[in-house]
Parts: sequence; C-alpha cells; structure tokens
Amino acid sequence: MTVKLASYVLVLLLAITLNFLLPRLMPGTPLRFFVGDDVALLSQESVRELMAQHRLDRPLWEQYLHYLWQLVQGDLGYSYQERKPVLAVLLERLPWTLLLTGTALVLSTAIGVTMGALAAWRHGSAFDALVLSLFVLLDSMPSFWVGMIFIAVFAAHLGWFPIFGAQTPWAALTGWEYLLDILKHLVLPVLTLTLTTISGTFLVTRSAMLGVLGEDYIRTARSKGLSEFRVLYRHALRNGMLPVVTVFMINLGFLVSGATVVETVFSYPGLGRLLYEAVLQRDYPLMQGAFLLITVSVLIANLCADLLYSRVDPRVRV
Amino acid sequence: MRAYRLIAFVLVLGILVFFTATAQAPLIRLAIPTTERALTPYTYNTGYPGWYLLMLVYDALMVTDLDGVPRPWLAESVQVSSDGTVWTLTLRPNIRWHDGQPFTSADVKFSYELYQRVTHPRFSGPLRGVTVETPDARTVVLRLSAPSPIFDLTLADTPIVPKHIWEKASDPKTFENTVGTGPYRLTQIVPDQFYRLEANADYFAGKPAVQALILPIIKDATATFTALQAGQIDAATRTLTPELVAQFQARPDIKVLSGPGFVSTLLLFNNERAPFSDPRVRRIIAGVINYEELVRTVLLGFATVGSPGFIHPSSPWYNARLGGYQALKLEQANRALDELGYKDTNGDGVREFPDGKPLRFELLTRSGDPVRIRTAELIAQAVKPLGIVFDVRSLDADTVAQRVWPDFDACKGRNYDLAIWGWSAPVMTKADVRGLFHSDCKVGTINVVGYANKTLDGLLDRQAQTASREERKRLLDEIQKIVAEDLPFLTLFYPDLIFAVRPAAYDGWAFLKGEGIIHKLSFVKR
Repeated sequence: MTVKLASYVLVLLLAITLNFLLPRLMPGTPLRFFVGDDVALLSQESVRELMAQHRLDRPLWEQYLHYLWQLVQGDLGYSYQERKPVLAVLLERLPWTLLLTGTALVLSTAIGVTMGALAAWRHGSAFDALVLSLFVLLDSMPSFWVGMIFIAVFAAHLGWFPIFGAQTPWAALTGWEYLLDILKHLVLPVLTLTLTTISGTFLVTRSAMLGVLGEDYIRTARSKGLSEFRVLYRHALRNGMLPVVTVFMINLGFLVSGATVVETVFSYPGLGRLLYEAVLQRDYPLMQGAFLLITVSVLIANLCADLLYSRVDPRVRV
Repeated sequence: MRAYRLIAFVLVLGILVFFTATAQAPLIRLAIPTTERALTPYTYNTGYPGWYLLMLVYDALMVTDLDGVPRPWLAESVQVSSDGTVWTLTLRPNIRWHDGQPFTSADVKFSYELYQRVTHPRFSGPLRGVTVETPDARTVVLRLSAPSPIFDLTLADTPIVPKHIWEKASDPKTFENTVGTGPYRLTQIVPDQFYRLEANADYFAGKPAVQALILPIIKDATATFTALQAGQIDAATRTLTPELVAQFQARPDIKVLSGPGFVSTLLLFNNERAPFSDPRVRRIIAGVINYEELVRTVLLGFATVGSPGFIHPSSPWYNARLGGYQALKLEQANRALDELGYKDTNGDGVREFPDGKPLRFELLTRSGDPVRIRTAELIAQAVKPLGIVFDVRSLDADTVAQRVWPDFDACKGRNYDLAIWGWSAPVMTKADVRGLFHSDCKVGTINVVGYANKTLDGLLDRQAQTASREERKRLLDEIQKIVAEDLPFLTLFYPDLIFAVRPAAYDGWAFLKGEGIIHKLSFVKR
C-alpha cells in the first residue's frame, strides 16, 4: 500500500512539473491576452512592465519555485484572461461540466452495456449486425458534426431546443421553470456527447460478453434450466464486467476535463472549453490549475478503480 | 355621429399607445464572442467589441461622431491654446453617476491620474506627461508636455470613473464596480454566459433607444448566425463573412448593414533581409499583384482595395492624390529582376541570388483565417511567373506573432521573410504612422518590418508634435507619398464590416465609419 501511495505522489509531482513546463514551451506569450487587441497601442515600457508584473521576465526555475510555493499554500494563482483567482474560475465552470459530461456518461454506459450484452447474447443475428453497424457508424461521426446537425434540425428548423448556452439569459426564471429551462438547454449537448461516446462501452461490453458466454459455466447454468435473462445478467454480465469497469473509470477520470468540442458547438459554459481557451491564450496559471484538477481527478478515479477491481473480481485481490 | 367619435377616439388612442410602445425597444439580444470579464476600464477584455461595450456604461470627455471626428460629450466645450499644449474643457452641468452622485472635474482629474499611476495598456500611453488642473467643479485644464494634434482622440477614448468609488479600490486592476455616467448600467453578469445592461433613464443625452441589452456569449461563429436566423438573438458583434451576405439579404426578417472597415490586411516584407531589403524588389512584387482581383476573389468584393500609403481612403488623413499601386507587365517585371542580378542560372524555373541560393521564401499566415490563407496563395501564384517561390505556411496565430513581432517588442528583432498581417482599427483611427514606420524601435513600436528611412523619421516626429490638424494633414500627405514609393510593406485591402440584425427588434443602428454599428451612438440620439 505504501508503495502504491508513493507511486501516486510521484505521478502527481511529475504531472505538476509537466503542467508547469509544457505551456511555457509553446511559442507565443500571454501578453496579448492581458492586453487584448490593443497590444499594438502599447509602448515598450508598458510591455516590459506588464511582463515584470506577471513575473514572466524571471528565469524559468524561479517561476517554477514560485508556483510550487503558491501551490503548497493552496493558491492556484490568478488567471490572466479572467482576472480572477484560478480556483474561483474553475469552480464556476465545474458544475456545468459535471452536469453535461456526468449525464452523458451515465446514459452512454447504461445504454452501451445493455445493448452490448444483448448483441453478444444474440451474436450473429440480424439484431447484432444491425446494432453493431449502428454503433460503428456512430463512432465514426465527429461530435462537432453531430452537434451542428442537431442544432440545424432540432434547434434552428424545428425550434424545439435552444441553440446556445446553458440557460436563457433574459428570462429570470425560478423554481420548476428554471430547472426545465436548464434541462431544455441540456438535451442536445448531452445527446451529442452520449451518441459519440457510446460505442466504446458498447464494443467493450460486447466483446467481453462474447468471451464469457462461451465459458463452460454458462452452459452449466443453461442446462440447469435457468432463464435466459438470469443467465445473461447474473452469470455472464457480472463476470464480463471488468473491462467495462475499466472503461467507465477512465471516462470518470476525464469527466472534469469536459467535452471541449461539444461545449464549443453549443456555447456551453464548461471546463473543456475554458481549458481550450486557456491554451490558445497562453493563460499559464489557468492551464496549470485546470490540468492539475484533471490530473487529480484521473488519479482519484484510478485509485477507485484499483480498489473497486478487487470487489468486482476477487481474482485481482493480492 | 356618436359612433364616429368613438371610432376616432379609439383610433387616436391606438396610435398613441402604438407610439409610446415603440418609442423605446424593450429588449434586444446582442451576441458577443467572448467574455469581457467585469467590464470595467481595467478588466474589459477585447479592443472590439469590449471597449465599445465599456463605453455604453462609461463616458469620455469627447465622443467620435459617425465620421470619426471627436466632438464634445461630457465636456460641452473644448478649447486649445495656439501652441497646442493647453486644453481647456468646460464640463456639461447636472450630470450624475449611476448612483446619483454629481459628476465633477474632480472625477476627471482622478481618472486621468489613475491611468497615469496604474498602467493601462490603452489609456496610459497617450496621457504620459499630461497634468490636470481643476480651477472649479466644471473646468478642467490639461497641460501637455508637447503639442499633440490627435489629443482629442485621447479625450474621446479615455473613460472617466467616479472618484468617490474608485478611490477606495485597493487594486484598480481587479476592482469590479461598474458605476459610470453612460447610457447603460450593468445590472447582471453570469460568467461565461451573459451580461445584462439596463437603460439609464436620466442619461444627459436623452433616454437610450433600447431599454435592456442582453449580451449572450456565443463563442462559435456558426452558432451565432444560426441563432440569428432562428430569431434567438437580434444582432451580433461578429461580422458576417461575405459568403453569407446573399443568404441573409434574401430574408425579409433580417437586414444586412455594411460599410468600410479600418482593419488592414498587409503583406509584410522583412526589410532587413535580402532581397526584400531592396525597395526595387518590393516594387516589382507590388507591381504584379492584382489587388482588385484579390478583393473580388477572396472577399467577394466586400473590401476596399489597399492604398500604397497605408491610410484608408475613408480616413480624414488619406492623401487623395496618391493613386493605387504601379502595375507592372510580366515582361517588365522579369526584365527588372534580370537587371538586378537575380537570374535563373540552373534553368529550374526559379531565379537565384548571385551566390546561387534560390529565390524561395516562406510566407507566414495564421491558420484558422481562410481569407488570409487564400490571399497568401493568390500572392504566391502571382509571383510564380517571376521565378520567385513563396511557400505559404499557415501556423498558429501566436507562433506567427512570435516570429514577426517577438514578445510584442520591435526591439527584439524579427525572424521571417514574408507574412500576411493586419493592424486593428485604432492604428488607422489615430493614423499611427510614427509607430508603423519610425526606424527607432522605441518609437516605431509596431515597425515589425524593420523599415528605416532617416528622411521619413524627421517627418514622422514632426507630424506627431505639430499643434495644428492642417499641418499634420500636410505632413501625413508627404509621408504617405514616401511610403507609397518605398513600400516597406504592401497594404492589400481593408475588409468591409458587415453586420446582420433583426430590424423588428431594433432598427436604429448607426454605422460609424471604419468601426461598425456597435457603439454608443447606435443607442443614443445624436
């Protein structure tokens, strides 16, 4: 256990260092982004003053030590772009991202596992062929394209759903109406995200189940006269779950990193889009903070997976 | 008889109700592309539309009219001493801040000194060396260390903040109070989602034409215009691309507004590298590019062809006697290159330097900007028959900036041969030729081509310090003539600004020359 803990700490330290280093290795400076387009109006003194203000004129090792010192104090720094503490910026976006990616993850896992199990059970049938080709088709569709089609059809043409945002800005709704408004804004992005991520879970479940369904104990269970449903869900699925859990835990870890493309297409105020902008704008503190959040949540998901495996499959226990 | 009276009465009542109802549009939804943070002078984000939105909440002493000429605004009169160094302003009486406090000269003094004390990228530079005196509550006397013919633009550019609020701010750079004197007060911000502005009914220049402005943030361009078509928004600060114009014009519920834009698109030569260090080579390249065709092909005609002197023909500073680029026939151009000693010695179709190196250069342009990429390709095609190869390379915008203008500091040199580039509207509005062309990199802060011409330097210094507008105009005419001769870079075109709006929601938009429809005068009677 101590070895495991030590390895987690090591990975975290390594990630923190990379999070610091990688953004600074990109060409370009964040200067234009604390200034805006007006950078052409800047005098040379102002340029130097601004660089000094953000410690960007210091050697890299000095900036790094400063960053570590801040981190130890629990301070994630100040976002250049938002002019706010990084932590506050992240916390503003986090609920929206979790709502979007969380809902999509639950839906895609539930549908993916069910359909995967059914397809494996009816292996070789017309149903299997149909579902398999459908999911492969879904897998090949880029999410921005699906999102744009949905916007064009369901939002612009039919007018059933809003085109952008997470709520109606001018409505000032309360109670149920407010919830309904949020839900209406959620439908298309969640649908897009679910459809474009579902095939992973489906394919893994299907292939794991195919392996399990060929085992002797399944034949034994069937010959005992158990119902097909019971065989499928009690005997087969339980034993075929391990790879599915792996896929789920990986997805869980990346929940907070959001869905950049979908968030962009639907102007959804999530973390993925924020991170993407932080990269474009060379917003070093925000990038560091967001990557740290993602690192930590991936590590936690990993840890959970490690602990969960031994519960799901006793063979993993050491 | 009675029935007639009744009908007449109802009719009059109806008309009255109709007019009172339409006198002010209740609400419009104007999409913006990105956050403007807290929308204070220190936190607004973009030059466009950020500064223009800021100026809906705050006022300046002057305002530029629709031709871009500064007129008194918070001030009712502006007088300049004959040597151009003393500016005396009388403030309008009875103006109040959004919180009801009276606006006085003390606020002006406080604001200007604030920008001098706490560096602001846009407002600080032009106020350097200015002292502010306030003989009484309605008089401001500004003393400049040297005359400036465009100081009125500074007066129109610099927002005034309330002293009684900002003097309590511990850090102005993050202070979030938005009490101003402007036509709108900021009533709600939901980060990354929208802003809500409500009309200031007591505005000194009259009640604003729209009661509430909702500014939803829509980051994606396609989503913005889909939302406009679907009626989910009424206007956008984003400009329409030329391909979409016909489709939008065909719709009865959408109106397309367009006019000249002051953003420039340029072909930069590195003036410090051969062969582009030679003005004769630059002139030959300039002579084989068909600028009208560029505008027709790339922008479907929605642009003004570039002036070789950089200044836009719609600018009051334009030298009208300048004319366009000197076109060259291919044979002429080829002969001129032969004479300069660039010959194709190995017969591969590409000319060589005398030392045998081929005339092959990288033309940088930013990815994600199809107009510029297409422009670069067409220019590469135009020079190919000359035996010169331009390899178009599209790179991330910041990577291009870092090679053309490292750390935004012209003194740090440059690392490119050719690039497609552009300057934002304020460079044109101010006609900042000194920044563009001066050989001293501390003065020529945006001279990213490394151009040096001592004769021109003298003229550039003189135009920046003359007291009179007429004298500056004369000097600028001369400067444009020299630039058109030397061609340190090529001004290819200035894309038009095209906007799409829903007139049913609001139809009072006014086009500010070079800058568009998003500004104070679109909402306040002028």
